[in-house]
Order: sequence, then structure tokens, then C-alpha cells
Amino acid sequence: MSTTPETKPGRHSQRVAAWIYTVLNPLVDAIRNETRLLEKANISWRCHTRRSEYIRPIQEYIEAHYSPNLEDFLAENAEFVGKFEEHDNALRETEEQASKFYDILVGSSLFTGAVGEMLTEYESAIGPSHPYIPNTPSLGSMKNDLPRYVAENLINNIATMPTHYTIHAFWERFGQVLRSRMPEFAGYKQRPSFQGLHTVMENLKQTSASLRKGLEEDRLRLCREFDLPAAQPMAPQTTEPDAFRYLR
Amino acid sequence: MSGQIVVLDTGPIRELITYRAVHDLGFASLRAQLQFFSAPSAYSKFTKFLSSYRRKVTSPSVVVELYHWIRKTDRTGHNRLWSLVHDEFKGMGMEEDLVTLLEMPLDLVARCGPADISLLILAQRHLPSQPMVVTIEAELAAECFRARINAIQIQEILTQV
Repeated sequence: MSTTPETKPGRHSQRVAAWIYTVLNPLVDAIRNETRLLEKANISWRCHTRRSEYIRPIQEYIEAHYSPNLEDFLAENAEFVGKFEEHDNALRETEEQASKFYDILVGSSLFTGAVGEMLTEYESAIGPSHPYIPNTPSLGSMKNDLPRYVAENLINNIATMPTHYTIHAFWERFGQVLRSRMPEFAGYKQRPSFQGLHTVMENLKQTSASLRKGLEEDRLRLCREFDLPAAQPMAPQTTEPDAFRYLR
Repeated sequence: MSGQIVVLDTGPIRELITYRAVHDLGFASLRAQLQFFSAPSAYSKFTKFLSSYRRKVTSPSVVVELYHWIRKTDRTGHNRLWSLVHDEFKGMGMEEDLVTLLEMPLDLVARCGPADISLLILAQRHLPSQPMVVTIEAELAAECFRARINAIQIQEILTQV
């Protein structure tokens, strides 16, 4: 199959409109959110899934039944094939590095020992005589899970936790100390893995920012060239599936 | 006054998820669904209220109601919204207790629905711990009062000084 278009889409092209509304707009929104998270060095990595929950491969940002529109967009805008691959590779490397660093942390007796000591101090301070805040919950029941939870928060560079979260008070008291001791927890021999996590995270941040710029510019170019609005005009109430609305 | 257990209905949980989806994940299309946390101060006030309870409890029926809500939102965001629900439940240490239909008075189920009644029964299970049911539904709050169970609507929490 030839990859060279034989006919150029015309003004108000429904095909180009489909790219904008079902591919570019969801991607611009998603990548903007990625860059916001990555600005805070938060990769939203979760130990139970060992992946970034709020940063996803490009394909996952597109509704499944719009995948043909994504393929069509890439067929005509080949420069994005490489950019999307670069994004997904950077994400995969970051997730792998985060998993590796997580395993080092929770396997480190220095780390689990430090968390254990902090938990002991916390538990002794939440009694009625020295409360951090009223009704601060005991974390005794999550003693075994706490190092995993702490490691996840360290990887995601979490500065503060919402006040209704169980470990809010613990994190207020010890979060900063734990974050400052991350390289030490990694240990001398494993320190490259700590630096490696930062390197791949920075790469993902740069890749995501560059992709965001590219997508925004391409959307603007298509809107100008084909005289299309960037957002889908409000359609009258209809019972048709969403997939057909942009064709009106 | 703070008790030991707060029993959470779908509305307050949905409001927490929606707030975070809009503010943390940039889900602008959900902004219009925020009924009570239009300002960050309202979110802070509510989460502070929740933090005054040691235990947070809900029922699997509420999770089903969250499912029905999420499936009506933009499909590309479903995975991330469920991740948010997971984060919230894990973060606040939410306990899920099952209440079966056979435990529910059918006249109440017919009037309020199984999700609301499951929360009423959950609260009755924990009576010695002075449970507080948090909802956005006046009807559920009224049923709780009839059953001598503490209940409060979000709007009341937000107007408290």
C-alpha cells in the first residue's frame, strides 16, 4: 500500500475533522496533564500495577473505536509515528526504572528500618497526650504495607497527602525527611539506579513537553488549513452514537 | 462532634473523585459535574471533616453506582477515573462491607434503592461507634434520622463554621 496520499483532503474535510476531534484533542488534553504531573516529578507510578496510572501509552488515550482514525492520522502525518514511539518508549523506560528502584528500596533493610523507626515514633506520639492532630489514625494495622506505600510516594515525589488520607499526618511529619534520604536508601552500590530513575523521568518530561508542542501546533495547522474549529461544535441532542456526531 | 466511623454514600465519593479529576488530571469536561466543591476551600473543608473520623466505610453497592456514573463519562478517561477511585479508597483506608438484599427491608429498598439502604444497615451494624452517614441525598438523610442514625449532607458540612 502506498503511503503517499494521492488526493489531498479538501476544506472542511470530515476526515481531518475526525483527526482533530477523536485523536488530537484527547491527546492534547492527556499530554498537557502528563506535563503537569511531570513538572512536579510525579510519574503516578503504583506498586500494585507497577505502571504509571495517569501517564499512559498514546494508544490508551484514544477511544478504542477511534483507533482507525489514529491509524489514518499517522498514515498522513508520519512524523508523529516516531514521536509517539519515543513517548511510549520513554514511558516504558520510566516505569521499568521505577519498578527497579522500588524493588531496591523495599529490599533495603536501611529503608525498611528507617520507616519502622518513624512508625514507632509516630505511634507513640498519636496518643491522647501528644496528638499531632485530633483523631490521627494509628498505622499499626498497615505496618507491613507502610514501606511499600512510602516507597511509592517517594518515587512519585509526593510532597503532601490529602488530609483525609490515612497516612496524611505521618507524611506531614516524615515525608520531607524520607525524600531527602532517598539516595542514601538506594545504597552506595545501587545509587546509579536512583540517578537512572531521574534520568529517564527527565527524558519522559522532555519528550512529553515536545510532543505536546507538536500536537498543539499540528492541530492549529489543520484548523487553519482546513478551516475547521478546534472543538467540535455543539450538536443538537441525538440518539446516534458519539462516533457519528462529528460527521454532521 | 467527631465519631469513630463515617459511612460514605456515592454522592460525596463522586464529588471527591470529580474534584481530583478536574484539578489533578485536567478533566475539564467534568467540571460542570462538580456540585459542591467548586472552590478548593470547599474540598479542604470536606476532607478535613473526613479526617476527623478514624474509619471510613462504604458498601459495594456504592462502587456499582460509581461504575454507572463513570461509564457515562468520556470513555478515554475511564481507566484514569478508576485509578482515581482506587487511589481514594486506598488513601483513606476505605472499608467495604457487604449488605445483602435479604438483609434489607423491601419497602425501604423500593423507596430509596439498595445502595442507600445498604449504608443505613451498615450504620446500624456500627451503632456503638456512633456512625455518621454522609450523603447528598435528603431522602437518605431523612431515613437515617427516622432510624436514629446520625446523618449529614455535604451542603451542611460546607456551611458549618
